[in-house]
Amino acid sequence: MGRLIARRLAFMVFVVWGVTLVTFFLSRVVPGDPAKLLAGPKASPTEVAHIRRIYGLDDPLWTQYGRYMADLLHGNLGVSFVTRREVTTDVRAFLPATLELAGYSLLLGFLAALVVGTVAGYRRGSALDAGGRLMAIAGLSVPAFWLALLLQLLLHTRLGWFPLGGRLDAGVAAPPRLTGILTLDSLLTLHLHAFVNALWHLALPVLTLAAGVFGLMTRIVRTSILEVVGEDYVRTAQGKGLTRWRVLRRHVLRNAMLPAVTVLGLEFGLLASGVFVVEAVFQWPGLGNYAFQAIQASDYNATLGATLVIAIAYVLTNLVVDLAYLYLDPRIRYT
Amino acid sequence: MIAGAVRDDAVPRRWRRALRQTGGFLRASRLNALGAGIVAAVVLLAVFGRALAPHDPNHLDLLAALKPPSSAHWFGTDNLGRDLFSRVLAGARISVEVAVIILGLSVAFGTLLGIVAGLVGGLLEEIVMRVTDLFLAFPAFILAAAIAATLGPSLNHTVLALAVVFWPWYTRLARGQVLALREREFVLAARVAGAGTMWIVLRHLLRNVLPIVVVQVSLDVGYAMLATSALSFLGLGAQPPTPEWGAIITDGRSFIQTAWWWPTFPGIALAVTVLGFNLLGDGLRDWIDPRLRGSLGGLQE
Repeated sequence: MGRLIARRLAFMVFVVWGVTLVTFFLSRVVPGDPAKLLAGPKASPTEVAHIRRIYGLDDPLWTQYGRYMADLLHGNLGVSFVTRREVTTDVRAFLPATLELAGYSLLLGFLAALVVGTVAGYRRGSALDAGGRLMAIAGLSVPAFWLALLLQLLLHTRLGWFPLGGRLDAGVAAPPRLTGILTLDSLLTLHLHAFVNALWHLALPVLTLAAGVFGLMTRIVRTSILEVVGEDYVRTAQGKGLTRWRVLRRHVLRNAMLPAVTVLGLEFGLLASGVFVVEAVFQWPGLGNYAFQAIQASDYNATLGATLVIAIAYVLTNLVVDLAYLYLDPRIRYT
Repeated sequence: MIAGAVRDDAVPRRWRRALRQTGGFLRASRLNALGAGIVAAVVLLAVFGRALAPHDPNHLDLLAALKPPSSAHWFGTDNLGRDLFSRVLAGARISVEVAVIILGLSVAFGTLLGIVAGLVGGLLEEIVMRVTDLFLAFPAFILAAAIAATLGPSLNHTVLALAVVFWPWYTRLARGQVLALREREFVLAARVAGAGTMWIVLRHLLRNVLPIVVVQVSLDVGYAMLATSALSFLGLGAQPPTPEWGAIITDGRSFIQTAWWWPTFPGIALAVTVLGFNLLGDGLRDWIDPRLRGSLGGLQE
């Protein structure tokens, strides 16, 4: 088991290094010129050249990359050309909003999938099963950006039930920042008004993102329920007179959860892409929005920093998934 | 003479069998039939849509700007008076073409690379698989967005960017198949008979790998279409006046308060199309997996 973890960690380092390599050289071929951007529209060519020299943008690419990696190893991601702040500061400012959004979406999508997938698996071949499968595939088929617009149109413009975007109403004071996750901070500091307002703002973007999570997860849950229900130990549990609920909870769900855990990595990829467009539609001040604006403004350091954070989070998720799998399935642990 | 007679008989028999299997697949679940129906309709519209369109998709008519759906304009018009029904029809062809090119490129490159890596083995296989690991360890959409942004906003660049993120899946799939196949008798026999690597790949491996690749393709088509539209929505893909569905939705976004029909109809078209491909792919996968096929057979009775 220790060797497995060591191998995974080594691979993680390889992947993160590969990502820096790919994104660094990709971002350097972007047609924009950050020196011009920094100098402003009225700058003279000498001023632009001066800025290029200060930031080392006229050095050979390999020298720039070496410098970037040296900084990176010291936990320094450089300065964003657009916000003029340290990228690590920016990431710290924007990441919690994204985590909050993704966390609630994952939770909602997962719970809905658990219910629908279990019902579909138990009632195989029924109309409920077909309906569940259709719902799951529909969740994966609806374009997130379009669903976001539609929800805005219906639930904001027409019915006025939910806000158009942002994390809090302009008139609501934000709770003191502890984690940056508004619902958590407001609860911990007992700012209940802010808590309700934050939840209210989360509703539409979370609903949009949860659709995809639900689609992917329902199929997995249904398939694994189908497999587990046919197992001998389930029949034994039923035979010894356990209630249906107890069999479901203790024997079926526990074993059916294994495959659901393994797709968390896939879910992450889905969420990462969803976050990009959903944050854009709902003006959500998160990492997706930050990365997107950075790409458009050829803000090298910000682009690299944001992608790096996403990549590290992704690799970490997969590591956690592997470890969870080891924990949940003793057969793997002891071989 | 006899061989000729057998061959004449064999062709229709093979067709009959294919027909019977298609029928079985469609009857196995209503959702299979629904998916196949949607896909067939979309492909037909992609081919003949322009002929059916009542208007030129790019024809401007400012006097008819922002008109709600009516008998003259089924899906209404946009702010430049273009007929949205005609634009959505034209978008069907773009979506299908884009998906075909993305998957064509990634399947051709990825599958061949995977087959060769699996067959040759050794250092080549190791390098190829580590590179695919690197690509697969990164969220595909983010990578595609970064590549598309790097190359500059255009539909062609989006297609290229998506092909770059799709190929590793096929490499891994094909290599896995080849690893299972390369020690099988028919491949060993071909080797003993003195067949070259190229012959073995083309004659023996490709036809065994292809069915699984086809299932994967049918599952990926929907994703390719969604990703293309999402990139267009972010301004990285199709540029005006191209009637790509994601681009139409983006254009209509700021008019959603006054002209709900503008982003709504192309969105429905996209969602239904992707749903069709996903249903078909999902059904095909279940159909090919013998364990699940049994359960579907039971469902029929």
